[in-house]
Amino acid sequence: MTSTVVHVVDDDTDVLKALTRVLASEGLAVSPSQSTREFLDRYDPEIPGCIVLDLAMPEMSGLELQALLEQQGVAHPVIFLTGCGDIQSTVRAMKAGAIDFLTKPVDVDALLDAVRRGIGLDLETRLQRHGRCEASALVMTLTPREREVLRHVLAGRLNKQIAADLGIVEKTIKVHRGRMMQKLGVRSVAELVRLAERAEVAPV
Amino acid sequence: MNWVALTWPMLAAASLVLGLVHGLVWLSQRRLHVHLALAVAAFAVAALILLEMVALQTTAPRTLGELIRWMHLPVTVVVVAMVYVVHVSFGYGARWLAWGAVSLRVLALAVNFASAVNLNFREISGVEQTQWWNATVHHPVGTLNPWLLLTQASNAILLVYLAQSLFRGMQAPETTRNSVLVVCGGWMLLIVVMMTSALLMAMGLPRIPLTATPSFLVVMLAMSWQLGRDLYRSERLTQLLQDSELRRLRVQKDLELAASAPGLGLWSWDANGDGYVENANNREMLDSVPGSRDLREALFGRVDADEREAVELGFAQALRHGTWEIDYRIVRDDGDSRWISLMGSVESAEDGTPLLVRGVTRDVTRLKNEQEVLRVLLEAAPSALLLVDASGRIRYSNQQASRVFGFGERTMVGLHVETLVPMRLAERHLEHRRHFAAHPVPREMGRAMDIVAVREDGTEFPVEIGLSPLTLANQPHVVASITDLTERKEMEMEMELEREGIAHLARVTMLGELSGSLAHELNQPLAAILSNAQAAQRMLRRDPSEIGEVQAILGDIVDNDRRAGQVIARMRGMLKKEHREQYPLLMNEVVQESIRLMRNDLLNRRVAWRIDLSPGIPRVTGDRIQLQQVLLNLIFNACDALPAEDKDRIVTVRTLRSERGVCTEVADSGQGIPEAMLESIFKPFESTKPNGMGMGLAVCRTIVRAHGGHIWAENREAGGAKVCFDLPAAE
Repeated sequence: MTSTVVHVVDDDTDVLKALTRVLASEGLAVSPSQSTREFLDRYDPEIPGCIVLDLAMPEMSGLELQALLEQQGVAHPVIFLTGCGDIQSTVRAMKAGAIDFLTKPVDVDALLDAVRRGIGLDLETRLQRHGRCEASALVMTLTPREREVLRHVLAGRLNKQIAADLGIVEKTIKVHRGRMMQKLGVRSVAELVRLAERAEVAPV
Repeated sequence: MNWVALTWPMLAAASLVLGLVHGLVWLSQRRLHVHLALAVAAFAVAALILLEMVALQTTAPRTLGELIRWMHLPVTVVVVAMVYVVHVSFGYGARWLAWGAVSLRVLALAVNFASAVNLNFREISGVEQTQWWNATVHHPVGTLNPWLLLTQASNAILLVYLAQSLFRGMQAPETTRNSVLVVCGGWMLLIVVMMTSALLMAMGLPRIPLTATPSFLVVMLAMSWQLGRDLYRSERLTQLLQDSELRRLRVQKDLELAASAPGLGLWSWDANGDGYVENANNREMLDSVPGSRDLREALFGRVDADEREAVELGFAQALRHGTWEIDYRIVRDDGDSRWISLMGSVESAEDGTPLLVRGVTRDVTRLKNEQEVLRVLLEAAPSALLLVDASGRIRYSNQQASRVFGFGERTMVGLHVETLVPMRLAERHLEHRRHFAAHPVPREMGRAMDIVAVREDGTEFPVEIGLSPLTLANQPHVVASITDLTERKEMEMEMELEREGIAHLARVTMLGELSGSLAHELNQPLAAILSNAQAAQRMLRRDPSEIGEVQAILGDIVDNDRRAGQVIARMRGMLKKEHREQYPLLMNEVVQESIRLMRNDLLNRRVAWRIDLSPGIPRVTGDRIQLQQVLLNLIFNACDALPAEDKDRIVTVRTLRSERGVCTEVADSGQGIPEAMLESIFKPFESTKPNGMGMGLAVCRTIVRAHGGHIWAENREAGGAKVCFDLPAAE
């Protein structure tokens, strides 16, 4: 948890200072930026965390920044803060995928709640992504034949049937199967299925 | 022939000629009797000379005696004639002396013819001869007649008479003096010679050729010369008189011509002469009864009965001056009323009675009517008019002036113009007047000088004065036109209040538009305060000894609060109605504050703003809120003018140094303003927005103008428009 960072972006110095203070008082690591440009300069997408964004900012507004980040394929969760909460902005923000929309003056509890949710979400997302990456990498190590066998196994076919499908002797199928499962590091078919899902391998 | 026989006839001939000449003169100018007398005398002298000549040659005593007797006749004639001539020519001698001498002579003549021989001799005993050079002359000898004394007495009286004439004549002027000297002196000499000659003859000494005869001639010649000169002079005078008479006639003719053409009447009245004389024009103009010789009747016959007496009195008074002039009205026979102007000259006797009056008559009806029209015009003029002379005295005031200055129906003539100015300004006004007199140029002393005048009752009131210099009767005068500004000033004040009201309304409206921004502006510090406070709470909960940090937080909270307070204050400021503060301001600050006020609004409208503030600009004097109002208005307008595309929504605010002070520009990147509307957008009720009231720019202009600046709109080269206002730098 200590390696997470909360980014705060607000063009108003007083508000920025206060928000930073209040978040820091909870032991969070805060990275304040007074403008979107400043934020983009110091932003490191690898460090997990979330972003607290002021909606109305000169040059690039909060919404625009969010859109930009999404374009770049960054998944940091975004919490919007605004001085005036009109419905239109709220709806737009939520549709764009913000996890929360808070109005100033913001109560610290509400803010912290949102921030924690954001961090949690981010971590989970990263975890998931991480898992997916691992599985994909393992699948990459399979030979084409092994991959084929995998796909058939995922389809629920018996060895006998797979042999018949691929025109190979059952014994050979068993050998492929064994090697595949070893490479993928799974002991049961259930595990295999889960890994294949993570790697996004489709059954035949 | 001896010389006597030669000379005596010559002398006689000369005398004859002289007589003829003077006789002819008398014939041509019968008046000059002296010439007749002289002619007669000359003839007598001629006769005398001839008789004497014969007498000198005669040897017979009897013939001689007769000759001598007859000689007395021409002598008497000559004496009488000469006395007459002297007396008439000079007139210095006493009359009775002249008469005495003449009568004695005549008596002697009578005796001469009455006596046996003649006056000289009782009886002639013989004739003796004498030699006068180569001539033999005869003279009688005998007993003397005692009656001869008559002639001597006559001579003596004549001498006295002539002496008297001479004496008095010497005191006369030069020319006469010479004549008198010559004539009387010569005459006296002659008489002396005669007396001596008679005496000599009595004593029997004829040797000296002293006869009276040639001497007579000499005297005659003297007289003749004298008379000749007189004649010549009188001829000349006559000639001059004729010439001047001709000239006078010509001048009179010219005058008549001159007068008859433009309708001048000429008349004269001579107490000693022809009475009243007038030309045809005059009769026509005065419509007088023809042939009237009475001066007053002719001139004033047609004057209205009511006015007659006054007019005649006026005339009498006017005649006391050498040149005079009067105006009066007549009513002609046909009922027409005319104004007559008479002017002329008068010669009066010592006691003042007019002796000779000459006059020129003019019909001045039209002039008077024009004057009357002018007078009525001036009286009716809507502005107060005053005519002031060089010393500051009012010569003429019209009705309006009397009303404006509270004099009612009374005239202001005679008052000093300084009395119309309040005491405290009197000196300054006097200086102004002097300055104007030195540089007389028509001038409008306008409101800028805050002229205040004072009425008769002492109340003061604001005025506007226009001045014009004027020369009347060779003296400098000033015509002043005065306008009472009281009403105008009141209206101005009302308008000022109205303007303020409208500006306030515009501000309030703008505040409404800014509400979003203002709310946001207020929100920021409040949000900061909340977060700060909550942070402090948590810190204390965790570690109550973290006071230092908390103090910093509290400090920030106070700042935040102040910031919020400022926003409120600004709002309050905009809501306040009256704004007439004048402070030196930096436009850069005003711009920044305005942007700050609008920030949120601009962001909400997705408008990007640029600020370009020149660093070294001077301060301007003005009201902060009002100038902010202008800027906000301009920025709002700029936002409205922007196109829909995001990338082009830019508003630029710029300040720069200008000639007079500071120029502030608000530029947009829109379509620009049509050329024809660049002026009209500042007019009230001109709006390009569907719901706009059109007051914004009009109010801006009023505010800018009230600050002494001016505002205008331009189209930018790069596209879009900009509105600029220029304010003078603070002194």
